[in-house]
Amino acid sequence: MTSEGRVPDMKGGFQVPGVKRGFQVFWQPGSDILTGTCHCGAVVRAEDPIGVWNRLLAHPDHGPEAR
Amino acid sequence: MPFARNQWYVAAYGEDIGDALFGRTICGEPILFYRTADGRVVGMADRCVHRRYPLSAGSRVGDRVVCGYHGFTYDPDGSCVAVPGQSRVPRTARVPSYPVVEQDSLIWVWIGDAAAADSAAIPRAPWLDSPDYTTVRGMEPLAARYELLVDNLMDLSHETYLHAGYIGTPEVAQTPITTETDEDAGVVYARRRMKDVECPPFYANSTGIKGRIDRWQDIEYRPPCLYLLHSRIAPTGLEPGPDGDDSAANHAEIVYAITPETEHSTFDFWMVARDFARDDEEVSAFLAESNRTVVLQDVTALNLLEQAIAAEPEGYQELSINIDTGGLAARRMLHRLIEQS
Ligand code: FES
Ligand SMILES: [Fe+2]
Ligand SMILES: [Zn+2]
Repeated sequence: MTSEGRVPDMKGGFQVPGVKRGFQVFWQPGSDILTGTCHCGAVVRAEDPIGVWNRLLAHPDHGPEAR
Repeated sequence: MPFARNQWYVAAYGEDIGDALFGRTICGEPILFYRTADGRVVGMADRCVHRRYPLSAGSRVGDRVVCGYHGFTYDPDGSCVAVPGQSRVPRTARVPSYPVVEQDSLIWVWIGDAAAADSAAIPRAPWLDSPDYTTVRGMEPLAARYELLVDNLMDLSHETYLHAGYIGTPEVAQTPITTETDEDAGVVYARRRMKDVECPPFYANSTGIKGRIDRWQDIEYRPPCLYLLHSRIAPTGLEPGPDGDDSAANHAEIVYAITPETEHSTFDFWMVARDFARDDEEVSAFLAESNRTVVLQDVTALNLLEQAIAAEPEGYQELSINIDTGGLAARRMLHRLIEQS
């Protein structure tokens, strides 16, 4: 398992249909990295859940490395 | 932490409320419930306007309630219609009444400004009184603040440790988790979908599946009160059909209602609705007994945790790690509801 984690669920975007404003956080147990996706499409990574939520909730200012 | 007001809470199961007077404290408010002759459930403050005697300790005369202390008599809407020894009933003699809705076999009560109650906002759990499902259920009182139960239910990785041998299998702690929020609706979802895993006794004994399974755990938390765990158990490789038909799989809709009683006590309503072995009473008895055992394992742990936390100064230190992602989202949604109320 890579420390980057995998993001298999992201292929289909959000799993819950019909959400206009929402966030997704993916975590592969064993990985230290949480991957967050904002409804605007920005993807952020963090090493702890408080960090990932903060960066998502900062929408639209997700920070420099967001893509 | 105060309570989220202007919200619906599960006060009881439908079958709990009959002709008898039923007193229960919800979010610190003592409430009297009973069913009127036409089958409607009513709720009013469980304190007599005269000297505060609990009305639930009184008696019924028709649809009216008579206080057990000096006999003040109330209509189902809480207005006092008779007092002892005089014909004039003081104009202010009434107790507040509570909006109550019976839906999906649950008794929901609105805590907050009664004028703002909208029954369309009550979250649904249609399996509970669907003819296509069989439900077992119970309620355990918890001597702990409700937030601890929210944390507990949002993080199922504890299954492997606290519930080993019941619902926990090693894979539960190894499977990817996708947490999603709907910020507009105020809902938290956490999904864990396991492929080709061991079947825990809870499901092996109830579904009759012998081999390995695909197991889905899709959590849907609708703060403050309703928690749904959509559980799918199927022989491994069995996928839902292209049209979404999934009738070949087994489904258990595990429902919790998390209702604060006081700041340090909670009603832990638990329900297991299933679409398999529906007429098998042994399965019903087994699921009821196992789920109750699991709930009591949580209750014991959370009661202990409450004592530890209550003894600490406000603002105790915690450390959150990746398994807490969903729990943190749930806490944030709850705080938002509390701030709004
Ligand atoms: S306290 Fe109820 S009638 Fe006096
Ligand atoms: Fe548990
Ligand atoms: Zn964004």
